[in-house]
Amino acid sequence: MSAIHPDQSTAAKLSGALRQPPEPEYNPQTGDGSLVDDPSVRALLVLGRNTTFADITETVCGYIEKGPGRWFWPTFFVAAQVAGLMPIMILYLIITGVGVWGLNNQVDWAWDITNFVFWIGIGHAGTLISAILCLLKQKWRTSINRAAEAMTIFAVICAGTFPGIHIGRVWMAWMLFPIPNYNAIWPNFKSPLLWDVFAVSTYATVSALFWFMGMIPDFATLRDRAALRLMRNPDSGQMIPLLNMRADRVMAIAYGLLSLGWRFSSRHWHRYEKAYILLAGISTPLVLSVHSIVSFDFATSILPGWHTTIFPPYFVAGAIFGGFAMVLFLMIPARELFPGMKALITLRHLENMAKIILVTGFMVGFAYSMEFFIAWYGANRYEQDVFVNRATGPYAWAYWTMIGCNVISPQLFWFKFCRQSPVVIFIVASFVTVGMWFERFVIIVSSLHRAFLPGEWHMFYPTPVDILTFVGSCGTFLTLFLLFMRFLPMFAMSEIKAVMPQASPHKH
Amino acid sequence: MSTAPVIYQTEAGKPVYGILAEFATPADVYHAAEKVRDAGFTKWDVYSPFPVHGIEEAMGMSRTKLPLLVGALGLSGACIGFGFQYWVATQGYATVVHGKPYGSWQAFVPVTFEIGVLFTAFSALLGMLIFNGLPRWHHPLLAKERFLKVGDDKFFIGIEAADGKFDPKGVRDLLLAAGATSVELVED
Amino acid sequence: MTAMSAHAHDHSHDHGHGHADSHGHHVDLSESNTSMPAGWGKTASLGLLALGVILSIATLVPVFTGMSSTAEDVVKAAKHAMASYHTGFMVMLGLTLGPLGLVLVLNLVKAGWAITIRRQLENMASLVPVAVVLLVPTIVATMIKPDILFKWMSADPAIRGDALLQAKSPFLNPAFFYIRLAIYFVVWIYLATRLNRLSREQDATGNKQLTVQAGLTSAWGILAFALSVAFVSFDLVKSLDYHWFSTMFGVYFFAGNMVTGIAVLVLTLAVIRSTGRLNGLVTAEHMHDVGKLMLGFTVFWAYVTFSQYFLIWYANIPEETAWYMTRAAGGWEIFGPVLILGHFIIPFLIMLWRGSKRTMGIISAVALLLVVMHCLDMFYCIRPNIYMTFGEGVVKGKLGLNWVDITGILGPVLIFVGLLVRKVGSGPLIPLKDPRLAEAIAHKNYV
Repeated sequence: MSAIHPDQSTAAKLSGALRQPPEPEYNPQTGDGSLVDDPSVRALLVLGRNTTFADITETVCGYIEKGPGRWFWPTFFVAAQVAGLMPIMILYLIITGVGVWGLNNQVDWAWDITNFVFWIGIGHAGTLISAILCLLKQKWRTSINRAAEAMTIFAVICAGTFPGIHIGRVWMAWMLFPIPNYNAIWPNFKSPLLWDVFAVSTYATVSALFWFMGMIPDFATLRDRAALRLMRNPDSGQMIPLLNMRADRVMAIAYGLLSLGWRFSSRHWHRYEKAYILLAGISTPLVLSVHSIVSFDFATSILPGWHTTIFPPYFVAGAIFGGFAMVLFLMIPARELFPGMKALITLRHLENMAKIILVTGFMVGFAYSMEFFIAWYGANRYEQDVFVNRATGPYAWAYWTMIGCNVISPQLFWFKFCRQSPVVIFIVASFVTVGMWFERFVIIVSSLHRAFLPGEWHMFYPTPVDILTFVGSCGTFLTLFLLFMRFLPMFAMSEIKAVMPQASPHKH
Repeated sequence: MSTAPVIYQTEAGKPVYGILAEFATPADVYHAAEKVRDAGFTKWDVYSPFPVHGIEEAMGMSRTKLPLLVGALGLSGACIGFGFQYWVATQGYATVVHGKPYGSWQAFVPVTFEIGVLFTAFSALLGMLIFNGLPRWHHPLLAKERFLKVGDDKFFIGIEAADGKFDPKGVRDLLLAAGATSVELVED
Repeated sequence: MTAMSAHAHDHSHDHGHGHADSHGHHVDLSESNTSMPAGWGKTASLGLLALGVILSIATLVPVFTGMSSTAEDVVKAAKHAMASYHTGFMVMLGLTLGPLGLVLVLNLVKAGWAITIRRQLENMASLVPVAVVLLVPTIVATMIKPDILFKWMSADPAIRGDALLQAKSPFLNPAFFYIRLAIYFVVWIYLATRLNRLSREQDATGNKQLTVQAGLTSAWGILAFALSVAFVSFDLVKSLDYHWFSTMFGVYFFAGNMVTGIAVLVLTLAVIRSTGRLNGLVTAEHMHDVGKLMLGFTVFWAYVTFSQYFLIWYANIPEETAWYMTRAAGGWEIFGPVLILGHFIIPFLIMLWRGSKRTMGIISAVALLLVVMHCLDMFYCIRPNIYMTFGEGVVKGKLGLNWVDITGILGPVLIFVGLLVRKVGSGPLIPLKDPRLAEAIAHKNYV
């Protein structure tokens, strides 16, 4: 029995006898105050000690009610023009035939499937941030989950387009689904391409449900605010010309319909939270399964460079990696453009995401090296040649771009000042986004262009149609995201409020 | 049981939905909820801009059975998915695929999983809505100006007139004593 | 001594955390709650240790007794015994590596809720030097007869002349093999010792900087850990069948270790709680989250295992399917379904329910099942290699079950358990002065 047990000072501290460390203060030299190093202090998730619930509502609803600012419509106009390229190119493709693409006998999957895997990968971060971070009780997720979920939906829309248009006879696309037909033909359920159809459509549906469900309470807040303004002044709001209605009336009706009559009842909240956690719980294996199934498209084959067992988790790690990069790529500029957003997405949030990029970058690097090692260890000539060809062959530039962007550039995040600088994070995020596109390009094209028979070796060169379709898909993505920022609640207000210190019912 | 329920009316002759009391903070509404629970009310609710942690206990709520429903439907979805694929591969359109048996279960795992997830997700969302009696686009509370702040930063307790223990005066006193900043009658 | 009662406070800076306490969670942080009674488990520990050693040695009995008459039989018996012992060794090694990985992750993500369970993981990880000792018999046996376990070390010209082996010889050669093993163990022992030391130093000093240091070590540690765990699985398990290869194997090994590591953590906590210790420190709330982790890694294991099997099954390339063909005949075919059921479906369906995670009896039963299943899983990876026969173009396996298989597995595992019991009884059961302790005490699952 020791006289003074070491727990006594802990006990004293816990009982409040010892002085507690002071609250983090804003200091221009050390950042916004969210970058506390003290392990006993949890960083503020919303900046400003005196921030109230009403401030959050005002900030987030303000983006919709007051509009995001003068920059918005010009940006939207440009993005929409770029997006317009996509339907034009697709129309041209359908009218003319797949010959307008650069595919050839040997490289019969290239640009289109690269884009598909790239976009579907981007589409994974949303559900990841929402679902996995939710299960892991990472409260910092509340500031970025909504935008990330929106990103998911839009990326999946872009992704889904590519396999749809690459099947050749686009008008037969309905045969991808098990629809009873006159010839009594059913799809082949043993084909990875069919699994893709189910995986991607399930993912799109479930992500949309998850996204919508999260927005129900926020829709209700927007509805109530519009209703309140109308109650006080029936003529409030700008006149909207085409509808011949006041903006507030339109908002009350539109958000009212979308909110499904949510009235913030605790009995409802209880079931809502349960359903939300169930959705999060089922979405987590869903995310894993979707990208795993995408990887099965390649890994079930016997093509050297494609058939390797680590593909499923490797693709998933790559998706997280690329998805987080895309979140940062979009949210860092948004943080500058929207008033008050820096209090919601703090430097700590950015730092956390930078760390995730570093970790997942290593996972991807681990998979790259494991593939190389096992290609050598497996002692299969064909497998070895594919990997040597990747690093030294005609597509070596793509391979080294991938390595540079995905493995080397995130190493900057070992340094604290890089993790804490939005500019550096933005640059690395752009590199990673590019690198992840090249990763898919390397996997697909470098494996295909030199398969078993040298007589069939061919190079792949993208045509302008290929390139413009991809550019158009970027425009589509951006346009949809801009519309989201304009008309839908960009932050999960109810969730942010719930993680604020004054939300605890035991605060006195 | 034998006594007919009392139907309360306002002075204008409209039926009464219940009484709504406003509270300033989560802590206030939490402690008030404990008092209402202890007073033995059953048809009442706490309204808050976000789920207040631990309010279930403060209200004496029982845990929802939603997970059971979701689990059952999710599993049946997976079974249906597997059954359908098996039928297609062995009966509906039996085709030899890379020399493996018609009913190779391994190949059916991905789609089985996806269908299971799809059923789970729909049953979670729709089950939550059905259990909550939503969508319901009109509600007496939503006609109250004060209540429209519930999605912003205000906290409320509403006790329905349909509750057996409801009595306007008693409820008003109880809520005021529990720290309500305002109490008002809600017409149906 | 006086029992001190601490009232975990709702710190003004502790946003969103630590509020449950301010409504009546008085947590006892005195020695009578945070460490085992003096002398606890001494006899049990010694008994288990002795039993483990005896069983390990008993594994060799068939080699030296009359059970084997010819020289060929002796070699066969020795190979069998070594394979069984190696299975037990790999399980034991996994029981230190899984927890080490989890400690690294918990430090890295600054997990608040897990502070009160972290010490037991550190205890398990700190036993990694014991694995070096337990590897000695294997190394000695290999020195005496190189191909007793690792066929690729064989001097048999038929094997030496194997083109595939020759291609792999820059990696699969004894010298490099031992160097690699040495590197792995240096890395693990360094990480386990350092993290343990930092944690225990904090018990005494309460220095918050130690938490920061542990986080920094974990940052590079997790990388070194990932690579070393992947490669040790290649060296000690995959290379047993040196023809076969799979990029997923390291991840598969890691997943299995995590599941068992967490399962043994659950069992350890169950034993500690049964003595009435850790009241208010490890509650149903913590078990709920440990249960979620166990469930999560069970699903992850199933995902990885299925993906590896599935891709090989689907592509149907002989050089890869051979591994599974060996395990699909001669009595081994029962293992696949048993593992699917016992290592995934049964634990999954039970652990899905909130109640099972929060009830010590149920969660411990599932944990025990998972430990047994991990032993079978390792057995399934290691043992088939010794009775592989080639014929008619097909690799055939044979089960050849023997009591040696039980003693070989139980021996190293019981040695581990014995030492763990001693470790648990020897110091504070939680990191007493971790800066996030209050958060762990106040931890609650609301949904």
